[in-house]
Amino acid sequence: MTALDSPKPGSGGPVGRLLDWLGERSGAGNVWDAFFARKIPMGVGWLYTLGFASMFCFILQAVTGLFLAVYYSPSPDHAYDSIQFLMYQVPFGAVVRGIHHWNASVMVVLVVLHMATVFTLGAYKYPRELTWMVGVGLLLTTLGFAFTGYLLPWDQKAYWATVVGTNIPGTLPLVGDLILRVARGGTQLGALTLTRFYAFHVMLLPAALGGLLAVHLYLVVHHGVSVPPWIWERVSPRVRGIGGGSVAGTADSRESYHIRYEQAKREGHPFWPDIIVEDTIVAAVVLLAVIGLMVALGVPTEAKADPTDTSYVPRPEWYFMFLFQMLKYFPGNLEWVGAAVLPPLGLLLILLLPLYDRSPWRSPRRRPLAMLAGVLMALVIVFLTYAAYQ
Amino acid sequence: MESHTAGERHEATQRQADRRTFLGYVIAAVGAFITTAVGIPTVGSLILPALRPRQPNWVTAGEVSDFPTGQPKSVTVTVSSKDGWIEQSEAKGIWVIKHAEDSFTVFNGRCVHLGCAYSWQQGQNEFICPCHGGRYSLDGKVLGGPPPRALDTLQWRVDQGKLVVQYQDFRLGVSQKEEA
Repeated sequence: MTALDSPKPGSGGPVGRLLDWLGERSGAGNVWDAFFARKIPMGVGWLYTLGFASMFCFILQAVTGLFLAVYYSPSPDHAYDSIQFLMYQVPFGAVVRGIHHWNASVMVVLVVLHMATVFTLGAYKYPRELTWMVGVGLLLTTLGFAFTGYLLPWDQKAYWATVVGTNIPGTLPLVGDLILRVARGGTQLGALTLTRFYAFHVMLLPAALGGLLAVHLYLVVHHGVSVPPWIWERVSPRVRGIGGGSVAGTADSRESYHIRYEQAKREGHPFWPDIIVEDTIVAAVVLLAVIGLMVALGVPTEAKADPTDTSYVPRPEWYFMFLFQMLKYFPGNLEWVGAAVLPPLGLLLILLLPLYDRSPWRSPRRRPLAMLAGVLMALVIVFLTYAAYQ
Repeated sequence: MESHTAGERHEATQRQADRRTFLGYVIAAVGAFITTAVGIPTVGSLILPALRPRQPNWVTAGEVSDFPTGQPKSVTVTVSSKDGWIEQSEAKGIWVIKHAEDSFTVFNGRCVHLGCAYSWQQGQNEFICPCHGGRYSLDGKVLGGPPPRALDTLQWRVDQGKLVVQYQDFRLGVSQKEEA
């Protein structure tokens, strides 16, 4: 199908003619063909909308964040007052902040759910190993947004959670002090910390996430969406290491994979409008859920940050609670292991998963060890989070 | 038989096209909902505060008895204003002319030409602006020089023996008195 004969929304009529004119001059038809006219393999359903839902959350954060930036002043003298002004003086200010606040939590949930689905369906296997790794980068960036974001209101929770959060890498031997100073812009948490957290939150991390997302999307389009394992139990050819070929003696080969995948695509549905209608509906549900959370639970505000307060018990946001709880199980002199060694090690395990899990099976029933490890990891995180709230 | 198959094929294609059009409408409708639900609060937060009228600034200029009758008196008032979340106080100059215990004329202390501070010249019986030679009479009318309109009068009231003035700045350099 070429750019000229592919069906596009709005063809015909003056709008259609304008779109055709623009399409011919800009070459947008090629983009349309690559992104929207592509076929999605059979069996792809609602579970596959989680990636789009995560991306929608990012767009929603970018839009609301842009309008929050209109009123926010990143200095300890003004940050708190500027948020109070936004909340109580600006029409819809509390709504914009409420959406940004609750959507941050929803985004963490959806990114993790998306990852758990990809893991369970074995979709990280050949040829999508790199897509998975870039996805792990996206998870890290999302958590980076969460961590840098909650200092910005400069309230008690913001201040004290960041004191603790920056002290955690500070407990590392040798490099701890250096990391702590770089994170805070000096030894104390203050104006220099706030400006660097702000710069990371609104400049560096959006650029990083935007870049990673572009690569992730390119890879999704390039490799196509994976066929669910209940249709195709064993699709990946065994791959030897990063640069290796297929293992001799197995029936699978790269060629047979691609032939079968093309067949699955032919029997599938076009992305526009069949799949994107599901994605759009899920995005609307996510938005309604965010608004529902805001209405039911309100938009949290705390007292202004008080570095002299001795009674405040700092607690991180719920998605960092398991890390907070884990520290309790380590004696003081070994705290750095729980704080700065185990979490990166866990992340590395997740990042490199497609490189050491080279079994050709994609169905969870045929991957008992992987599923056990995944479920255990999820249970530990859920248990630690639960224990932290007791 | 053949034409029947072709007809069926045509019908199936038509059904497929109708379905695609319907799904296109669903996507457009849901997309419009999302855009509206996010667009109203975000764009509203950007535009609405900018359209808010200024809050009137009533300040005490002094005891009524402090002002000599028929004689202009310069007073510096402290005007507090809110710049977003920042409260600031600024010293502003006004001229007060008492006609009787309950009758005053109060002028904004800025020359309406380009905003310089003017002063009362007792010998000439005129207000004179030193910047570009603007001249005004006791009742604020232009006597000469570049000022495009009379001096800006301010609203006042007497409250428990005190003269209270609503301080306001007006656009400079234009012939009509317009709020700045």
